Amino acid sequence: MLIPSAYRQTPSEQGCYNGQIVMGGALSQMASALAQLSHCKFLGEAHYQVSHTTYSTLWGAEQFGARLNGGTRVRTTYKTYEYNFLYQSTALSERLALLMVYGADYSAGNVSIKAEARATGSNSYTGTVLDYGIEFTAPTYLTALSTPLGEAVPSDQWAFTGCRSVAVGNPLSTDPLDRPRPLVIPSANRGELLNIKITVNSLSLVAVHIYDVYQLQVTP
Amino acid sequence: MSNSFTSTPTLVDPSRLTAGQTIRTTEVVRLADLQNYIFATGGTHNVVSQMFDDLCFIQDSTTYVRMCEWMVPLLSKEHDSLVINVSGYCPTAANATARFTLTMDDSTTYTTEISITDSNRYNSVFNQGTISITGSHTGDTAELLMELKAPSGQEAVILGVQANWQPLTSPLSTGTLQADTLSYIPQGQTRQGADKPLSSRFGVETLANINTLRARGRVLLNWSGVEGASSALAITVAAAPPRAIGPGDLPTFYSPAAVFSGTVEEGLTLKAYVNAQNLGVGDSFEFIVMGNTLTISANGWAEFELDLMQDELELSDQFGLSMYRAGLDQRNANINGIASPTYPPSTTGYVAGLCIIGV
Repeated sequence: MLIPSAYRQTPSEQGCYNGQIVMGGALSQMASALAQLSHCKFLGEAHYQVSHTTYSTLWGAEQFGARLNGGTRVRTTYKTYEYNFLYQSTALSERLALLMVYGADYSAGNVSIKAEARATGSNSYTGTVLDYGIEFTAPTYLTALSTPLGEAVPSDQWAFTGCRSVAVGNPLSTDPLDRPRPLVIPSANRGELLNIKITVNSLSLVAVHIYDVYQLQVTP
Repeated sequence: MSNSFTSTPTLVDPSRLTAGQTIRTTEVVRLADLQNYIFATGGTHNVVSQMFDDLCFIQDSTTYVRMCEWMVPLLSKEHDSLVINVSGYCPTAANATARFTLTMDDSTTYTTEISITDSNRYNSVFNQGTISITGSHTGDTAELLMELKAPSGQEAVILGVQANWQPLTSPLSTGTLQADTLSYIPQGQTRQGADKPLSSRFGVETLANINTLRARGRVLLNWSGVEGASSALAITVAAAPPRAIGPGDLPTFYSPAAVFSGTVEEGLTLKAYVNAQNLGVGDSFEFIVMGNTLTISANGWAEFELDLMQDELELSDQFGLSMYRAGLDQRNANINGIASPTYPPSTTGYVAGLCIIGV
């Protein structure tokens, strides 16, 4: 079945009254409108902004602006630096696209972002691995500048897994990680609270957007 | 007459809804199932999602300090459990505590307290609490306040906050269900059986239910500044989280989010909720969200309807959906206004929270 993305006009209510002949078209429009809601509008999404310290040698701690001077500070501690993004998935969370905002500093070391999906049994950060995931590296997938300024302030860049349906190399393998693709969630874990664990190197994470991938066609 | 549904839902076979085909009970049963599923689960993904770098969101007070506020959409009166997950730590055996208070339109409040059990960054577990709404309230949004306190001589650090409404389980309750001023009538499965007539009621109620579900909100952006951070550590390393939108935020302070064609034609609206602080009497400021100029003239939360007047993002091609920039615009009015270093929150009115709810 094709899944519409638009709010199409629904059939006339009067057409459903007693004495009216209900045509297949009316039911088809209802089916289409409901499929749009279940398989498009109410797909899961989460939009994380990552707040960083605002302290600046220029103006102290005015506590405004998460990112100073149009850029993101890459601190020396951002080496194998872990974040755990909690994501309440839906029954239709088959694949998760990740769209991230970052600033990277090549001079601080090798630049990378690793992302994996984990279950959250017992609220643990180290729950069962559902997809060992992917790795973005520079310069192929990330834009990193060499700014030898100590804790550098590079401008924001975007990293995206894409939404395409890519064959998973091996979701239960840790080495090598796949190149960027949507994370794959096993059917048994869809609808659960998931942990999207992201590990960064020489890179400051500014925002992480997580999306259930919309599919244009679904087999009933 | 069970108002049941299946998860994952089963779609209708479109080839059975064309001219010349009889309308089978299979299709009608699936339509009933699907709308019940959508009512129960639609919009139960994250309504609050925010992450904080280490030592940013920190508190050493032994009494509760107001620190964050978000606006969350209410899905229906049946969705009465807001699940909140907190990642944080406190380097002591005595737990720090976060208190969350949900304030409804009629000022009724509901609270939960969450003990933070980890002793260092992502040591072991996140902690969970649930706010249960027991009364009946009008309105389509509620304010969520977060307060934090630490044990004596210790400091509590928050790394992340996530919240979502608990999905309903099958079957749905009987009778008409309310979503603010709109109604949803659950569809009983036994009424759709082969030995029952296809009633006018089914068609009329299904159309009304679709309109109710189309109006349900979903969070496109939800950000809160952090107020009152405090630490014994030097300000160069701790307790300087952003409490206001400001310099450097504009280029990427937005969510690429889908807004569906037909939104305007269906009379549906996107809304922005702005939490302003530090405005004096007679003060006001303007800023631009999704092409709309919002005028802020009072402290606290204000609601604005947004006209859709932006161009789509190029990302639309990748998502297969019409994607828009849900957040701040990078325009001169913002660059020279709220995001200018000449308007620090210590001396001028500022944006302490921004929430955009789409449909």
